[in-house]
Amino acid sequence: MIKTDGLIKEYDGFRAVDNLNLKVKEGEIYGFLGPNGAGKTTTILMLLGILEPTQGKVYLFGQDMAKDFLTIKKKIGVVSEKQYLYKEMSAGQYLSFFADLYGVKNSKKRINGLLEKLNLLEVKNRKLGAFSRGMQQKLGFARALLHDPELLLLDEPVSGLDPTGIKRIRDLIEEENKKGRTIFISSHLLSEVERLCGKVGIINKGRLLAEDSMDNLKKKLTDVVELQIELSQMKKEIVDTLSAFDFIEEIKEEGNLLTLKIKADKDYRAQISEAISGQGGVVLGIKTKEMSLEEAFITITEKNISLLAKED
Amino acid sequence: MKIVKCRFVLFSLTLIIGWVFCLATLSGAQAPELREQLVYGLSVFNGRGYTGGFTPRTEDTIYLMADKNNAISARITLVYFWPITGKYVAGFQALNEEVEGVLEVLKGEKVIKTLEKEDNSRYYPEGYYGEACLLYKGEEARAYFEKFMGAIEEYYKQIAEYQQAQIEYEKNFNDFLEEIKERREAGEEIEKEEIEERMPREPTPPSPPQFYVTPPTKDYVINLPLGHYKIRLRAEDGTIVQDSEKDLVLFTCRREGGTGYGIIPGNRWTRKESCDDPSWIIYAAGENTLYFNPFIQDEYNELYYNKLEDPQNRGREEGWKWVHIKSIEDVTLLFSKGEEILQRIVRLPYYVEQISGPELGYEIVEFDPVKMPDRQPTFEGYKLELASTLQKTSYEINMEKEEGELFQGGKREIRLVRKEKAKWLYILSIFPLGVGLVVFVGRRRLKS
Amino acid sequence: MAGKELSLSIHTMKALAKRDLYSTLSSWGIYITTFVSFVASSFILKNFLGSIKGDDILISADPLNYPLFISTIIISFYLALLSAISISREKDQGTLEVLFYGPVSSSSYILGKYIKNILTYFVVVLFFLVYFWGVSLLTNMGFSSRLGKAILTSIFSVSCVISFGLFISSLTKKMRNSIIWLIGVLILFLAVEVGQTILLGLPQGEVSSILTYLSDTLSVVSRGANWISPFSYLSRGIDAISLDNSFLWGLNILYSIIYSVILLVLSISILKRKGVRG
Repeated sequence: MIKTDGLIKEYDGFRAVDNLNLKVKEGEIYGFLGPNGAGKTTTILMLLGILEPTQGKVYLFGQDMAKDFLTIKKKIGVVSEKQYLYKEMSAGQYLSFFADLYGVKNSKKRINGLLEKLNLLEVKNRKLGAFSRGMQQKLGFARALLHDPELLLLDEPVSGLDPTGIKRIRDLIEEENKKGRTIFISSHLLSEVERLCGKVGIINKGRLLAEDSMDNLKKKLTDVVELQIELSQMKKEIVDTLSAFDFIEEIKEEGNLLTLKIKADKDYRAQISEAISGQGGVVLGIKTKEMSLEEAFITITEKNISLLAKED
Repeated sequence: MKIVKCRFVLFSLTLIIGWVFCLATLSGAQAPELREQLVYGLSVFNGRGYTGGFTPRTEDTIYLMADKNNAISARITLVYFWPITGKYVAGFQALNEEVEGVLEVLKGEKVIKTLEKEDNSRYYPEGYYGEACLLYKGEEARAYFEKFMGAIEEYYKQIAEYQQAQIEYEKNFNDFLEEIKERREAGEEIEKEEIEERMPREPTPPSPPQFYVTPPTKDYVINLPLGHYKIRLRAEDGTIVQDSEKDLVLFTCRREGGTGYGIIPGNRWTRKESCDDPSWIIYAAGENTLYFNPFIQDEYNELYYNKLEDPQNRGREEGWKWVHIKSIEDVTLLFSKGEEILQRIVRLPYYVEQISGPELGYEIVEFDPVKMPDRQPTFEGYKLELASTLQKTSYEINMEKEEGELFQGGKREIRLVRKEKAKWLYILSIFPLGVGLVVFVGRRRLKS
Repeated sequence: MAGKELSLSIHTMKALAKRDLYSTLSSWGIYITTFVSFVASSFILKNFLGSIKGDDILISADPLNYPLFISTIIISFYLALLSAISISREKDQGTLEVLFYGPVSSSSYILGKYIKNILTYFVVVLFFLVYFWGVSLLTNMGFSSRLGKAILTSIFSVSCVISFGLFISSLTKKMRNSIIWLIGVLILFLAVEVGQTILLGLPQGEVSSILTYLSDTLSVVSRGANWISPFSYLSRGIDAISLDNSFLWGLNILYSIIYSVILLVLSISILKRKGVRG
């Protein structure tokens, strides 16, 4: 559905996007993650043909963006962080205008249907200047879905929304994906991406550092596992014995709670239990704490590690 | 950054406005200064006659009519700028030094003619004040001038004879009066017929020559076909005289034989109008007296013709102007509305009479040779009176030759305007606001 | 595929022009400007009529052309302003980016704006026809073919004005800057014109060498400004009509078309290069 080949964008010698190769399959929800200034928006603008790449090509729906610019864009729906509405228009007029622009047939029915679905029908004739942030965002979705696009590009779609709004938009995204729409989400809210996206791409300083399914990405990132062991009684001998193991990298003791950072290459839990029992200790419980995507994202971007390079 | 840019634009604009203001002040501060320079004196054909002038150093081009004799002379004179007219003026009375040499005419870089100074005279067949004029050169010029001098001599002779006859007449007249007086005193009754029969007749003064010829002067007479040339003055020592190089444009009319009208409004004898182009319309209030004077006219390039009349004139190279060449006299002016001829007007002489008293105006009256024996008509024309009773619509004038044949190109439209409805124009202006209101109300209704 | 792109482009232009035209015609601006221009015309015409009295006559082929010229200049200023803020306002408000998410390209956007403004002027032309027809009925000043020619000329010169406004707008990011630039450039044209008139009035050859140099420079600048200033196309066209020079008139129309095309192409390429965010 989306494919970029060695996409580069330079501004006065500064490389905002560097040799970006993206692949998004049809029907997928793709999360595009990166810190501020990583090149996410520049990439989206190039995907939309609004910015011309310095080098490289964008293919959407298998077509070259540079050649079939308008035909391709007609099949995309976009929701950005801010909606930039024509404040003097009403919601109905606004959607009518875009329906006209996209050449939507039976536009009246379609507009009313979308407004109803997004709980905006009641404010159809209200001036957009009087719309709340949440209403504006919902109207943005209505505009993006108006022409029944095959691909939805969402740039920070839930930014600034209250929890109810976020839930409604999240449900909507899932619903649209179920209908077979491909969804590309650029977001800094990692929890959202983690929750919604099957595949994630991480970009930093214009470079794509990782691109994989959520599970694989986590596996690749979590080479250290944290174990929290609850003991009946803390003993110095236990700590000393455990410290002798090579696979244990760090030990922290806090009351009867022992926190170990161990290598994730093998399951060492049995070996640890045995060592504790050997020193007269009683294990009340063991909890494994996996690294969240947020932690993985911070690790990968701070260290600027390219998992793709590792693969190579 | 943007604010800096905006400020820069505003600052630049202030500078520009200030600069324009400074220029305006500077222009007012210039004092006229006399400068000695080489100029070309001109006596050039303008389609009707000859017109004079000079080309100051600031003018690079001289414009002349093709295939006509035009006389030009090179002179050193004092030139000064006259701010009121915005033109240079030559002080020929203070300095008028003829520059010796030959005039070379070049086509491209090649000298095609070398002109020596030769005698030339202007011949005015209608007299000194007539506009028609011909320029003769060489032997012909001298012959015409001699003919004119002969005519003048003959006239002076006739004047002398007339004065003698006048003296005799006055003497005879007095004698006759005396005789009548004596006979009446003697009781004789004298018949009126006898008095009329025997009364001495006053001699008729001789008429001066009807033509005028200027004394021959030595100038370069240029007669060249259409085209662009250059001229320069080569001094006797073979050098090119400084500032003598000029471009020369020889032109002719674009169209000839057109018909135009000079119009004298009844109250504006001094400010005549003209209606030269058939597309021009005469707008009148319908309480007018207009005197029409039809002309044969030729059409010339506006810039070329203006520059021909005075090299310091301005004009548009893309513009054209009609020039009245010859008056049309043997026609009848028709005033009509549609097919219906309302008036047939014949050409009559008119006299412009000063109104005595504090009004200091004038009145145009029909010239009557009997009532005005010592006067000449001021002009001749076709008098059209547009009565206030005429319907405020479109009318036409045209010229009719003999046998009902219309003069080609003589048709002009006269429109009588409806002045009384002028105030309605402002009400008409409100119309777009009305449409705006309809749109506004329509939108409101649609919304509700 | 190229044909599909073209038809999409045309559709986009139509949709954009339709929306903008509706918005313009729904607001009071155009009606008030036309009203003001007609008041100015009526004032001139009333003066013309006032000068035709008693034996005073007026001889003219096209007495309505001058009022039309003044009206067109007033409306042109309004349309220039409208064009000059059209792109920058959308950039300023961010709506331009949202438009470009859809099937909108720089060319379809600029041409859509151009078409809208030209159509707005067509509406004004309808007002002109009604107004001058009314003038003709009221005063018998006549509705000549030359007036028709002048109205036609005005369409082409207004096209120049609109293209010029769009060009200024494509260069600027903020609406306020567009207005300042537009007014600034127009004042510059005026300053060149006035400066040249003043310098031409000075005695040539008797002024200082600096003033002579200035005069020559200004003469060149003025000649250039005559081609750059969109308003000069109207005065040249009206001049050609009054000169009854059809060739010059046609040539001026051709120049107006070339001028409009050049500025529109420049605007499109600037918008492409600068992007929707300025």
